[in-house]
Amino acid sequence: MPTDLTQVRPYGDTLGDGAMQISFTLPVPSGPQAAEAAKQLLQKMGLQAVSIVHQADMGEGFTFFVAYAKCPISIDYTSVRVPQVTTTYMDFDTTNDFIRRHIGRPLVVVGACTGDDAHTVGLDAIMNMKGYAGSPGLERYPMLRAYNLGSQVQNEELVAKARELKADVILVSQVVTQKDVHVLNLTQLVEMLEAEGLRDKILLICGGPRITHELALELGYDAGFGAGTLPPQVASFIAQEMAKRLR
Amino acid sequence: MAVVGLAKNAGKTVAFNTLVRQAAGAGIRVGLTSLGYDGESVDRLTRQPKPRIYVPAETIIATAAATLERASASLELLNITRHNTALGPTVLARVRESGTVELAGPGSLTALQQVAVAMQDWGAAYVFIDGALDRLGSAAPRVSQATILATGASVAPDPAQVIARTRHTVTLLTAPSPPPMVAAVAQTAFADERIAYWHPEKGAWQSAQPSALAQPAQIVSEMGEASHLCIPGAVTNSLVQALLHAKPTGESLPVIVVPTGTHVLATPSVWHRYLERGGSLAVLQSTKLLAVTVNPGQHSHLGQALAQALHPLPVYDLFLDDKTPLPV
Repeated sequence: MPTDLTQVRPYGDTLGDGAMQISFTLPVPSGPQAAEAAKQLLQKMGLQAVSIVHQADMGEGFTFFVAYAKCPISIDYTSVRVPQVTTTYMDFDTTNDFIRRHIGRPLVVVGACTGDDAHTVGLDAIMNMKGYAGSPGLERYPMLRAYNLGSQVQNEELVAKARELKADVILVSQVVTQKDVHVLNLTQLVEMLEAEGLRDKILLICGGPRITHELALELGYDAGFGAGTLPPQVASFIAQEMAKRLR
Repeated sequence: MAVVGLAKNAGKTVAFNTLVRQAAGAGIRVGLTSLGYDGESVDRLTRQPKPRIYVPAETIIATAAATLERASASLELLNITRHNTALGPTVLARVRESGTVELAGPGSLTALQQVAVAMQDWGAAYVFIDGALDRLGSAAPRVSQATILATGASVAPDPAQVIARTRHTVTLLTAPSPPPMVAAVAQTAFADERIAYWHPEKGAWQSAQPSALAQPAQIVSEMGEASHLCIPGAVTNSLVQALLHAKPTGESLPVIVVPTGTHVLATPSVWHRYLERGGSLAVLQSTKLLAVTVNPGQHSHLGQALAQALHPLPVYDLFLDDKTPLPV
């Protein structure tokens, strides 16, 4: 039976059964009262056939739950719109060749985890020589001169370094949370580049697990790469966008 | 005209929508764009519902191509600009039938200004630029001729802090001009992308540096006894702290001269110490700040307190009255 894409529901045992597994923590001590509270919470969310299949005492009056439930609603998949990047994907050799032919010199890319952020995993995956999941990082590209400044770099240092190296591209990695601090750090970088007269000379890209292109645009960046991004995706975007700008 | 805010949920889009509605009521055709990304139904960070942007027929909009298909308004494509974003080039469109739109303008202030002019060429009598988060860049006179500042309870936990933060930004944006001789020195230095110093008897001297970032010690030593310090770029905490450190209490601090108030990125607490110690700011171009809007949240007296603190600048609570400012 083909899936009806106008009415998509979670799938468990049979198509359209709405089965979901949910896990969460409540700030109450473990026990039967906690399990009932967890169940009632999920029912209040509109979920049906709720069963708490696991609870674990987290200590200090917190309990972790795993529940199964049925989702009574569906989503019209055909009406979901996600803006896509308009550049095409190119592999390692094609990208290097593209830069050689269309730009004629290596592009300078400066990357950093800014502010108090010490999560370098994402930036390293994109920039490091050895790369990630079989794709070599930006440092391996002969036509990219990549500088990884590491973690906890202040915006001021990053902008000074970008000026000194005459950067074409700045890559900023941030774990954006709902707390404002990371976002404000990202917007401050934009304001600083504008004040320094560098914004128009630099392709400004942010990355991190919660970052999307739409969020990047809201923050004032040219692009934003989220979880699961591989180095060639970033490299092909840089090559094509810089070729457009330098044309 | 730019709408800028001091934080998320300060009421930028509400102020923006008020401008759009009032212009439509007066029969004025406007052009609309955004410094960030506006008009989406749910906030991208907090997942809270947001005000939509409803546009009347004949409005001109400038937005990234990929956002067009999310509009409920019927649109006629006018022009594809050369400004590119991850969501496609910035395009100009005319609204044929009213409805909602999403707006994502170009990434840089230079491009934003060019797009605003292009919308005027297509017949917009006024262009309104919605803000993004806490970004103030579009309030710079090179981008907009006038600015509305949105503030409110989301700026800081307590009302006194909200007022202090708002006053800080108002003071930066509307700082006075330097004396004509200093202004001339600063203009020359800024055109050369150089830092410059001025002393009433010694005259002017330039630095070899284009920027004060990451080298405040050098700036301080070159400055000597200068009465005016002209910075073409950003004024950050490290520079202000270096100046405070170099001049013990009692010694006079220089007047910092910048192109516009948006160049001061020092945090309010550090900047406040500079002012307390006798330092001051002068700008070559000050922002024409028309009004402040307030989203008071749970603080029922915030609006009135702000109106008193910022007097004679008019302060509006748009949910109460979008035509008359709050009484002082």
